[in-house]
Amino acid sequence: MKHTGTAIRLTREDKAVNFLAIFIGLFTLLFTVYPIYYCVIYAFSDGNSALAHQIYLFPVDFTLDNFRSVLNDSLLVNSFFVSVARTVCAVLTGVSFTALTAYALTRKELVGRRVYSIIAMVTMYFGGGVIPTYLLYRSLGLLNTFAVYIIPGLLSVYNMLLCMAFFREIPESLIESAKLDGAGEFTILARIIIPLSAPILATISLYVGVGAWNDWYTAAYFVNDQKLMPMSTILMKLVSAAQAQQKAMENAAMSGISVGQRGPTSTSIRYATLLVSIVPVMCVYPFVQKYFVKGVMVGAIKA
Amino acid sequence: MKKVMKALCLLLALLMVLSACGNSGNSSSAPSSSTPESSETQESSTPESSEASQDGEEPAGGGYAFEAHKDEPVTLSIYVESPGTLWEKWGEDPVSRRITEQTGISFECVAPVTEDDTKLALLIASDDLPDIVTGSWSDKNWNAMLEQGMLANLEEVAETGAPKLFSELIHPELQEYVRQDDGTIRFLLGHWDSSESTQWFLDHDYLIKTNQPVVLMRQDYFSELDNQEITTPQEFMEACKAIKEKHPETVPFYTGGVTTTGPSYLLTLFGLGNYYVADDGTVSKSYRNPQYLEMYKWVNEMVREGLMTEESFVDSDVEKDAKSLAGSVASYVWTIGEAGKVPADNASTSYYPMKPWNTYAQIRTNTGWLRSAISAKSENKEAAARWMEFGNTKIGAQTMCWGIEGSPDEEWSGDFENGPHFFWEEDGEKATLYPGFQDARNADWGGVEKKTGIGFYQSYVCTNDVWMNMGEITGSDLMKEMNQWFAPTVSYNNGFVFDVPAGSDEAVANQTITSLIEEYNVQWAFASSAEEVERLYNEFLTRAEEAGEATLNKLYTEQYKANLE
Repeated sequence: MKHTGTAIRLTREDKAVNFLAIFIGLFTLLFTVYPIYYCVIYAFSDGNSALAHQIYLFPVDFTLDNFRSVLNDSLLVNSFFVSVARTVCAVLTGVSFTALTAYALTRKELVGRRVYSIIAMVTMYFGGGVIPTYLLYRSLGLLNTFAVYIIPGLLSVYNMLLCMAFFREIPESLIESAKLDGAGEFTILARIIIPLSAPILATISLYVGVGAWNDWYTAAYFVNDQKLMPMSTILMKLVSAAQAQQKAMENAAMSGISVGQRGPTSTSIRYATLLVSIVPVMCVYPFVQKYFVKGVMVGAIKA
Repeated sequence: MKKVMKALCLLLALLMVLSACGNSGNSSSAPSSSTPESSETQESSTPESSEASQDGEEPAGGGYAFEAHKDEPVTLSIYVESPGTLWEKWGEDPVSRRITEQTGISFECVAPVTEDDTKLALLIASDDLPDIVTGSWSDKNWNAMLEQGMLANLEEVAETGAPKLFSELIHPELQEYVRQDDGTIRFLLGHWDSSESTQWFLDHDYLIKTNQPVVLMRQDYFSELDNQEITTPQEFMEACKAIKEKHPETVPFYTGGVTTTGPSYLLTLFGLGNYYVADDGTVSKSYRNPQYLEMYKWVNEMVREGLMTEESFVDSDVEKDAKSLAGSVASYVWTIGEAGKVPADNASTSYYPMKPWNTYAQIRTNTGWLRSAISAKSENKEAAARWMEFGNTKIGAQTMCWGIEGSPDEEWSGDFENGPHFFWEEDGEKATLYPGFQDARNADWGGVEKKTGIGFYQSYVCTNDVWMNMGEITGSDLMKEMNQWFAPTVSYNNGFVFDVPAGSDEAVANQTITSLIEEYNVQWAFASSAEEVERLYNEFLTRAEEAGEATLNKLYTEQYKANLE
């Protein structure tokens, strides 16, 4: 069948530019995707074989042992649910508190809102350090509790500033007319501000969610109960333990006999761990990506 | 509006419920209480573990405190410096279950997630130590805990909690070694050798262990050499030249993972040690040894001859593993533990240690490895003392080091959990792991440890180094040969145990000189001639003097004398 459409005739320059653009695009794609691909082929390779042979495109001595080592950890399943619970709670509470605070601080009627803003912003630049934070959490009874994942993260000043910038752009006349109709502050927030702020709320939800999902630090220093450990901490511990074990074997100080090294190495476990930890985030990301891009752009322009 | 309020209330309620649930674990960093716990994880497992051993001595029923209290369950909190160990899953491996069964003691572990001491620093700063603290000998946090009086007087605790601990179980030499200036004992120390244990190791070909630094040589290349009796560094250089001629693609001598920051194991190959005592008694780092310069002249010549490459000075141990497994190096410096490694390019050969050169000498210090202490604030001091008592009895050693007892006629059954794992030799004097079991450990050390728990816990409590090691002496030909070769090169000098106070002038000088060594290490190796090496060496000495070498040496000399006294 003959094609009857009017195709745009490309000049030689257009073709050259297109070629260059495609080439650069593919080159960039290769550079960004290959490291992840390398993680995949390494994670599916026998640890020692991967060390002995340079791998570039395919796994060597294909094995699932690295994943087995990661997934066999008895605490992993429990930690997955802890991670899900803390992420969901952190998103719900964090976004609610951030939105509430941001809304209040954008209202001109709030007395001393500049002082509150300055106090909040100081905390962005100056922290107490680990030991004072530990002592504070202890005196608040937060140590070794699930609440330590939620309460200290209720308000993120950076996210609050993003929200404030977004809220300020909502026409004041909308709020005034709602007030004339008898609406209170909560009604205005719930019926007008929040529905109009879906992009920024989705964005900070993603920030808070990814942050909570990836955070291994809080549990590492403020939680001892293994049953309260989130997946990120357990995975970080797995990597550290593999490294520590490798070091111990190298020292082999007290063993007295040749110590064999078989199976997963710390590097192969690290790659398997990486894949296990990013899979859930990769599954969620496509659904919120459009909000994320939109929200970041809005925040970037208006902040 | 109502819906929003409802949702917020619901959210708040959910948060409060979760927080309340979380509170249930609130006690794990603080000393734990002796609340009776469920016995779910303490399933009965091993009748054998309480049976008498064949050496005539009754391991159980010795009137120990842990036996009298075994029906009083208690959970102790313990700090362990390594992340992801079996301690964190107490009750999952058979040994931990047997310990609970025999003592009534369970553990709740406080451990860092990464290998740093921030967690311990937090516990110290908040005066929130767990019941038991363990950690390596050299950890600076011990000084803080001792100075702040955070560790219990063990003799006092043992007097009521475990009377036989110091009167019968801890070697008197060790008691004196760990006694503090105020006359108290605040911690126990594992992997420390008494004079008796050193002699025992000598008698059993076990003075040399797998961590001994050696040159590992590919045996296919080695067999091609005309002169296989290599006794000096110079003869080794000639051998490397011969290998290079036949195999130009290989790196004849490789020190990757060893010499990135300084000479490291080369000091042992050249008999220098870490420190040097001059004729006038001044103690310094070993660079003041005249042979130090000769060692670097040798390294420099190796580099100039193309027998060593820059890879030796930049590669980490990961690259070292990769290159030795790939077979791209003819010889490399590492430890006996890698004897038998098969290069990927020739499955019929392997790397094997070379005989020590006539310059080889190792000067050891006997400092021990892991310390174990009881928190002064612990509410379970007596239970902690009972744990220490158990860990230093023969039944404790059997449970933790050797596993389930079998007879010499039996063979390894392949049952990791129930064994038997070991038998008695030498008329009941020496526990020996079944060779099949030992082979399985050698093949997959971490995996077998996870399955059995054997060989893990004792390092944190047992002070009898012979018990800790004897099971693994299976009379392997390799280790016998290594002991014949290397044992005569070993000497001990505890004078070289130094404590440079953090933040002091000496510490600054120490750090500066260490950085200078790292800087000149590469310059010496890649200098254009032997004369240039000498010039750079003299330049280094001048800079070391400027960095406060005299202050550091004064401290070394004083501490050396005090240590020997």
